[in-house]
Parts: sequence; C-alpha cells; structure tokens
Amino acid sequence: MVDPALRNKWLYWAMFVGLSGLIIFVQLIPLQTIPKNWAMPDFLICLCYAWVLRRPEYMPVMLIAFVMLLSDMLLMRPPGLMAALFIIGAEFLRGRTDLMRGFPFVLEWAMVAGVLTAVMAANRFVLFLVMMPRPSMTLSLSQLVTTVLAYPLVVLFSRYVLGVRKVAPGEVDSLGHRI
Amino acid sequence: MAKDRNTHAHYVRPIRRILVGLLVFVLLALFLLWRIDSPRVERFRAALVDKVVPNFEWAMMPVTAAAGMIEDFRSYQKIYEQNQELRRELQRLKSWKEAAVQLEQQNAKLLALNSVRLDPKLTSVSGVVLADSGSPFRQSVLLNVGQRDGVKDGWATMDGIGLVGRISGVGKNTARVILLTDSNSRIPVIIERSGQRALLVGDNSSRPPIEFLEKPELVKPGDQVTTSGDGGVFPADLLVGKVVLGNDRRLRVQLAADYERLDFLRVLRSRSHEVITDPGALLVGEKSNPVEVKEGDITTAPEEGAGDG
Repeated sequence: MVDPALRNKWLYWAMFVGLSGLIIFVQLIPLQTIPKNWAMPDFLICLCYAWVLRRPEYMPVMLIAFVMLLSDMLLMRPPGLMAALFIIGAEFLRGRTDLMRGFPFVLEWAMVAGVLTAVMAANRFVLFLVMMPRPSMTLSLSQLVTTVLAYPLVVLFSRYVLGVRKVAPGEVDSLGHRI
Repeated sequence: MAKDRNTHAHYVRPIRRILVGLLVFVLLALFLLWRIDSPRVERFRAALVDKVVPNFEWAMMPVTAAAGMIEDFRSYQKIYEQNQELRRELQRLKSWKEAAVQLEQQNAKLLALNSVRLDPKLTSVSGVVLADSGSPFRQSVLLNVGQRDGVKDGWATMDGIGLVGRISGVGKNTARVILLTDSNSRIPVIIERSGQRALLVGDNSSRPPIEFLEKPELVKPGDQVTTSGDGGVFPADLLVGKVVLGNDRRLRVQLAADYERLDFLRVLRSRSHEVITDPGALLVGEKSNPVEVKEGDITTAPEEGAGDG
C-alpha cells in the first residue's frame, strides 16, 4: 500500500510541474511577435509563492529550482539569476508560513507584493553590477504590477479548482500528525 | 512528538539552510559563468531548447493555427472595405508593374554592357516558426530548421517581403532568430536616395531607431532602407523597411516584414566572403613562390585600398 502522505506529495509535485509546463508552453506560443508596452504577469512565480505559503512541505526547494531554471533557459532570461532570486524569496516566505497562517489574505498579498518588488529590484541591481543592459523600467514595472494583480486570481484558482488551501491551525493529516 | 520537533529544529533546519545557500550559490555561479563565457552557456541553452521545444510541436501547431483562424474570422468583418482597398491598390500596382518590367530590361542591358559581377544568387531554406521568446523583454522566434539543414549563426532571415532578423543560436533541429526589434539587434543599413550608411538598433519597440547617421537632415520619412552588407555579416540589398519619424522625433524604421504574423521564414544561405588579410605579399613578394609582378599592379594596389576605405 502506498503511503497516502507520500502519494499526496507526488500528486502535488506532478500537478506543479504540469501547471508550470502549461504556463511556459502558453508563453512560448508565437501569437504576438510585435513588442508591446506592457508585460503579461508572471503566473509561474504567483503559483510558486501561493503554494509555498499554503503547502510548504509539498514544495521542496529543489523542485522550485528545477522549474525556475528551466523557465530561465526556455524564456531566454539570463540563466540562474532569476531562479536564485525567486528561491531566496520563496525561502523567505517559507520561513514565515507559521506566522502568516492566521493572517487575512490582504496581508499575505501585501507580503508577496513586497517580496516580488524586492526580487525585481535585486534583479536590476545585479544586472547593473555585472554591467548588463537592463530592460526598460516601464516594462519591468508593468510586469510587477500585473503579477501582483494576478496573485489573487492564482490563489483563487488554487483554492477552488485544485483544492490547495492553507492549513488551519490544529489540522491533522491522514496519519494524525499535526501539520 | 514535541521532542521530535525539537530535533528537527536543531539538526535539520541548519543543514537545510546550508543546502539552500549552496543551491543559490550554484545558480548565481551559473549566471556569472554565463556572463563571462556566454557562448558556451548559450550553446547549452540552444541544445536544451532543441531537446524540449520540438516535443511540444504537436500541441503548438494546432493552438497557433486555431488562434490564427479566430484572428482571420475577425478580419472577415472588414472584408468589403478590404476588397475595395485591394482593387484600388491593384490599379496603382499595374502601372508600377509596367515600369518595373521596363526597368528590368534596361537594367539587364546595362549589366551586360558593363559585365558587372554582382553577388552570387542567394539560396534559402524555409522554416516554420515554432515558438517565440516567451518573455516581453526579448524579441526572438524559434524556427524548426537547424544544423541538420545546414543553418549557421549569423545568417539573415526574411519573410516574404522584408528582413526579419538574424540567426543566433543553432541547435540540431531548431534555430533562434533574433528579431530586428530585440534590444541586442544591430544591423548595418543603407538609406536609399541619400545613400547614407547607418545602424538599425533594436530597442524593444515595434519601430527600431536608426543610429550613427552622418547627416540626418538628408534623410526624409518615406526613404527606403535596405541592408548595406557592411561588416560581411549580411548580404547587401535586402529590404528592411522605410524611414518614419517617431513620436520622440527620432528617425525610425517601419519594418517591411509582417511582424503581426510570422509563420514561415526564409533563412538565406550566405557564403562567407573571401577576406584579404595580407596586402603586403604582393609588394614584398615571397621568395619560395616568386610572383611576377608588373609595374602597373604595384602602383594601382595602394589606390584600390584607399578607395575602399
């Protein structure tokens, strides 16, 4: 008999990898090849942070690293940089899941927005340090704004379609352990 | 249970923290490696893209096609206006066609008289656009032709009408085209009528600006822009677009290629030019392989060099 907790874990991993693949795939479809003045939200990072805050034990750091590095490679970003910054952000949030368990959603949203802003600023700063051309400020800011706005949608989707929700205080898993 | 938690806090957490630190370090090291030795990492990226993206081809094609159909369906609503406009355009083009045929004949005669040797005819290989860059910060597309088809870095890519970009990054079955609109794109161009040379510098907008113009006052909106072939990277005389005045009062180029819908692209096979590296051999002469040099050749050689520059 497969351990239900373990099976659950595999299920979450498969779901995350599948959704990530889908998001990257949709971004890669060549529908628009004219440069735009605003950027689409980065759904991948929304999904990652929403799940880290809800089910930290199902989002191992290696899985995040793998998916983020792959998206760095496929989406023609500088390889490794965004992955590293996103992982630092994810670990920062993971360290505060206990604290944020009782938070209302607005506070969580503000926290995630703060982390995303810090990641963007750090990205620009590192690019400046290694003397690389930085993307235009308006484009970066528009991506930040759309990503922050998309976060509640991703949370709603995770909550009501996929059933990924916050652990209530005192909740136990199927083996009776406290989560 | 509580004890269990304590041991977890004491032993597992610090180890975990070190591992995460190590992971971040490795990722940043990869970034620095890319910054220092970009071609090697980019080759790896091309190979990875080559492995991953064609797997999705079966799914991408129908989705792209369906989206195209929806787009086409929208354009049916305007079909009557379009028809009228096309008729008018056809009338105008007929007169142009006559002029073109006459000019072609004239040109052929003149060329025969001069016996000018132009560039050898360019052959091309066509490919289908598989994917775009997927990021708003980079402008590139992925073609389904690659090393297998003999595609090499630096070759020019066109759609039916105008220049689209340059090959950069070739995998076995795929090749990436950096579009003219990408902020890394630099193409030497010549502006017709005034014959001035300049660079077309992509800046992530739909109309890339022209830079390094010697006399901007001689260039007027509407002038045609073609590649100049300077630097030996590109074949000369490929249509790029026409000059327009941007909102920021800069001279920009309205690209001739239809960037709205890039689906089939032609990759032009350019042969590498012969490069003359040692002008001295002719003058000094080699002892092992003596060359008979006439006096006239010696006097004309430096002049030719000066004329090129």
